[in-house]
Amino acid sequence: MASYLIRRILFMIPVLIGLSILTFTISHLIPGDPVMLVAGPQATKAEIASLAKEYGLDQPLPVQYWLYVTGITRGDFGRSIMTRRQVADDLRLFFPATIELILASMFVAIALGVPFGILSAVARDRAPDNLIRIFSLAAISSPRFFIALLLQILFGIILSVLPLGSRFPTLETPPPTVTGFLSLDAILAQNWDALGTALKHMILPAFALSLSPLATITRMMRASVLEVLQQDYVLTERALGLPMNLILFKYVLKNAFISTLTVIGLYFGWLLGGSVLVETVFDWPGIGLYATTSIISLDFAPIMGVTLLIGVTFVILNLIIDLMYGLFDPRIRYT
Amino acid sequence: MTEQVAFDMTTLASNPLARWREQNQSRIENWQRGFYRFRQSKLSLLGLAMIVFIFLVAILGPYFVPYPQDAEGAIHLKERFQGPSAAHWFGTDEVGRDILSLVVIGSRISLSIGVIVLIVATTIGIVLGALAGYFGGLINEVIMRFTDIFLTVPSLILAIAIAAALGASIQNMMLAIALVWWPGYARLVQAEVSARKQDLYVQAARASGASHWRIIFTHILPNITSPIIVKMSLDMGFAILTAAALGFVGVGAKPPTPEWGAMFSAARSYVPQYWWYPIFPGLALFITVFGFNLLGDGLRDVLDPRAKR
Repeated sequence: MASYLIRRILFMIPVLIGLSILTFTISHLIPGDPVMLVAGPQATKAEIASLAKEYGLDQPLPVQYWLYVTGITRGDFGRSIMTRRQVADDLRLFFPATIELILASMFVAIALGVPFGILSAVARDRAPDNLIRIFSLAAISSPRFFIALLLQILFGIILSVLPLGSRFPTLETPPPTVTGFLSLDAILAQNWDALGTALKHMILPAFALSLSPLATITRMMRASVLEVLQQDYVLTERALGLPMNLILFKYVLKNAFISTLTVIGLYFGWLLGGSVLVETVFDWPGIGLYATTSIISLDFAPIMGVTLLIGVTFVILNLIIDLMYGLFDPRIRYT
Repeated sequence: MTEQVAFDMTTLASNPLARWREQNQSRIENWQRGFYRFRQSKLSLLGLAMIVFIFLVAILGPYFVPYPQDAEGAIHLKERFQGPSAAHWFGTDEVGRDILSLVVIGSRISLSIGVIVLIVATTIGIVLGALAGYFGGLINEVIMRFTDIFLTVPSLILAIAIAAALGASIQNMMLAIALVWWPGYARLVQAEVSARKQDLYVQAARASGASHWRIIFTHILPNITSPIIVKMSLDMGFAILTAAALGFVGVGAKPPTPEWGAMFSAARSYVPQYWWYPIFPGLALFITVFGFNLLGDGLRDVLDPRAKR
């Protein structure tokens, strides 16, 4: 196990180097001179030169890459050209909000997707199955920003039971920051009103973001339950007259869940990308909204910081998922 | 006897269709069986009908829309924000443009983006995947590790970053999406080719002196078209969706280009008062993607016997 873990972590190094080259290359695709963008049209030559020096843009490319990578390892993601703030500080501020939203939507997706998938498999080719399959295909096909807007109109405006957006009302005091997860911080501070407010703000964005993984988990779960139901040991149990519910909940689900776990792992990464759209519609102050607001002002350090952060998170998540297989599948031994 | 042969020659020559049928009988039967299985699923047929309809709208629609000049940036301030009516079925936007006309003309943009992105992505993916799978060894390592790097970042965020860096335009957006889309095809083709290259027919071709190029393109690739077609039909909807997402975020098409995602983004701030403005582009996008997914699902059941339902 330990040697497997070490090998996997070592294997991450070339992947991360590749990733840094990728983001570095992208940020050098920018047409025109980024220094001119900051300096503005009225800047003198001396001003441009001093700005270029300040951002290290007067160095040759390999040197720039070296500065970039060594900066990242120190936690330096560069500075925003617009706000002049350190990107790392902004990421630290906004990242917990995104993670909190993703965890909430993953919770929704698993809590609904797993039972939907089981129901669909058990009622194969009958009405509930057909309904669930059409629903999941429709859910995958719907643009997230469109669903987000429909939810806002329905629950925020027509029924007006849930807030239209943001993470916490600006006029109220949020619980003191400990973890950066508002709901968790509220629990730690035992501030139950704040917890209610935080959760209320989370429902719509989490649901909008959960639709795609919900649909995929449902389909995956359906397929794997159907497959496991055909296995010899299940047929034996049925022949022995064990009640279907017992077979399903004691033997089938654990085995069916393994392949669904892969999907869940993949989707964590996917949600990091998908959150960009949902955060923009709901004004959710995470790294997605941070990226889209930076796009408008052509501020590249934040965009590349977000891309890199998401890439690194994705790589680490995949490692965690790989290790988790062992918990569910005793046949897997890490040697 | 000689007369008989001559007779056969003339019928075959005069009826090339019959000859073609005879030569391809097993292939035709395969197709018929596939079509039969496809027809069994009502949802696949619905998907096919939706896609045919959407392509008809995209091809013919722009000639029939009531206000074609609106897609070129015409402004009718007197008619701004009119609700759906007989004159404007889908209402009008903030400068009085007819939303029906924009949505119909936009279908052409979205479909062509999807088609072009997939063609570029599959071409890159097939070439790199085939090279890696066929030659193996160092070539395989280099190509596949390069592919892996692209797969470490979720495709949407990578496409946004590339499109933002290239500058907002439809061409750059298509390039950005194609650049994040090919790794999936490279992986698929690499796996298929490396699985097939030991097959008997490939060995036979090699023994008879066929070049690598010929083996890859005329012997192996035709045998792995099914999974590629299935992946393309499932990807078409998502490529369109990604393009709309880029338009929505502001790194894709720019108004007045009636791209659905960009339209939706502009319309969002006028909700709920002018609800029709974002609803119709959003619905058009949903129906298109839904159609492709239904069709792709059906095709997978027909063409990919390994896929379990």
